[in-house]
Amino acid sequence: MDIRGRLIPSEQVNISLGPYEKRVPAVTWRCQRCGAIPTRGPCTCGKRCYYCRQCLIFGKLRTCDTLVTDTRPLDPVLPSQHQPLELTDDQRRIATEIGQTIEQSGRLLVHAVCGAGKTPMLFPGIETALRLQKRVLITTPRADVVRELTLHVKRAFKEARIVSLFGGSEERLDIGDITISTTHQLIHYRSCFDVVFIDEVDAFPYSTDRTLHRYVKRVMCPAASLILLSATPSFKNKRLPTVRLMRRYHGFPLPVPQLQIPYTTNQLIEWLRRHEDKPRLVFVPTVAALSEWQERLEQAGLSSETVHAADEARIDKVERFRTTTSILVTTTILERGVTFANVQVAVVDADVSFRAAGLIQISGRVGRSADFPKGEIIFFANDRSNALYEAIHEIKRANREGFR
Amino acid sequence: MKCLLCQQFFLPSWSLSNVWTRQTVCLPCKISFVKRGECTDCGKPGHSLCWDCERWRKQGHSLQTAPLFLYDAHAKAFLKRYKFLGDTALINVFKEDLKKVKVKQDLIVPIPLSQERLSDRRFNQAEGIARLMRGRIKLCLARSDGPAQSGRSRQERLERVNPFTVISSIEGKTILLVDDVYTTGATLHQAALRLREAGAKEISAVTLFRSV
Repeated sequence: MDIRGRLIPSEQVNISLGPYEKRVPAVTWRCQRCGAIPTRGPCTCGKRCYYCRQCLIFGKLRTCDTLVTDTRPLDPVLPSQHQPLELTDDQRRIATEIGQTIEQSGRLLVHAVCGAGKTPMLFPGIETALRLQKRVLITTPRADVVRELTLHVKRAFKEARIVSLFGGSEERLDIGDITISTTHQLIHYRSCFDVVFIDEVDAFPYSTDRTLHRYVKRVMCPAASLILLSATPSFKNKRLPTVRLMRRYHGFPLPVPQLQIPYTTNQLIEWLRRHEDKPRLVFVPTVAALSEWQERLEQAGLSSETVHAADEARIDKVERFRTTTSILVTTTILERGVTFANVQVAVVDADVSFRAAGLIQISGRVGRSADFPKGEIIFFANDRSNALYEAIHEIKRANREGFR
Repeated sequence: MKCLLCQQFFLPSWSLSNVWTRQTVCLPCKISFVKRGECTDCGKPGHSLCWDCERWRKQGHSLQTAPLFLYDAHAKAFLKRYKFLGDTALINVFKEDLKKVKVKQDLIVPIPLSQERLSDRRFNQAEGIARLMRGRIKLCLARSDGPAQSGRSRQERLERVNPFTVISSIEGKTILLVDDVYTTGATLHQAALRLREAGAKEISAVTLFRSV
């Protein structure tokens, strides 16, 4: 069992490491794995025993437990070539920028619009990193995005050792030359990656959870380069060097959302009927609203499916939606990281609880494939909110900048 | 306050009746547990005396068991976190309910864990429940068994050899047994049998949940 670069409970370790072993108490005044304040609990150890409630799903940690790591260095990284790529000039510009950042161990924020082709832009950078014997981590807050990225990266790098980590994946506690992981799974790793890409930096829960920021920080080697990727960076950090790509890979502008204020249910139904031959996504603000809207559509004779974060059949439903021309009523979980060919999108009650970044991401679902670069995105709202206008303004500005 | 179950912030309700109690769960989480049913002996919903208890009575093993709630999906999620993940602070969800249980018996006896299981889990879930009740706790049972009860079929549970032994004197005492879930009643009845053999005067039981 290889635990270099990882810090895990001693019960899970079944080999003796001799002088290379390093032990730390699992819970002191803070949990040494996640950093939360622990809670007192009964234990057979007979002392004042505290345990961490915060990271309980990764296994219970008590004061009487220890965490173990192996202090030996990790195996050297094997260089690997990616499959030939077709990049546009804009993409190549960003890719060289990323490559330079990796060589200089710097930091970079890549602000690229939805559908700019962020994933292929990483591949030259990853290749540079592997050539320089640097271990690569691609991390993102969303498990769906991890699955999709894994497919892309595995297709591009045929020989490299690629490990994909998310809740319920088989490759638990493993390190590859390229590791693709959710931010939560980084909890077990310590200073082992030289190049860290964070995809969708502004996505929930990474945007609100400071613990996740710490996880990412501590998996980075002392001289690691950090590359942030987003279509809607929520922080306008002046100190972070930024490159912008405001043009989609197929060269068509972003579809600008239409507004319908105020709206009636009939208008939505009429809109859905108009696009009968295409897959249609309907975004609603809450889980409770899902069944409501499904019922309303049912009454109008339109059959639909619903999907939300706690839905067990969620992956199946989304897969099915890819191949059919039906209606999928969804919450904001499908707002990023998914691609449907020729999809048309409506947002109902867009003035309630949707943020500008979310609306931009939702609009970015439309017209992503080169075969169907155009599509319709429409916001149905009963009131005017700042977020609505901010989103439209940002999209228009991006189009202006991209086609200057 | 942060709710123990859903981890969301909530505002505790204030009234004269709960000024001195510390609320640990939000109201929606609290009321999602379903209260016990009609059966006088085991709290199963449906009949005033269920088929199960009737059979126990015919065999001459009548045991008054008072569950607090029904073991539905919500309770299952609770128990999974409390017992199997080991989130011991979670028992405070039922602090008030357990405090209200009237204990007239001399001793409260939580169902013990076997030595192997205890060293594995490192706490006894039944003892955790018993500690929140008002009464004198005496750990006078020991248990020696192999496989766990949960995940066994009904027949297997009922046919198992009695794993309990009494380790201290309880001659002439009235006893309240405490366990987490009442499924077939096999465990509680077996423990009660041993206690009765050891000379306990009167035995009844309290469980957190009754499976349906």
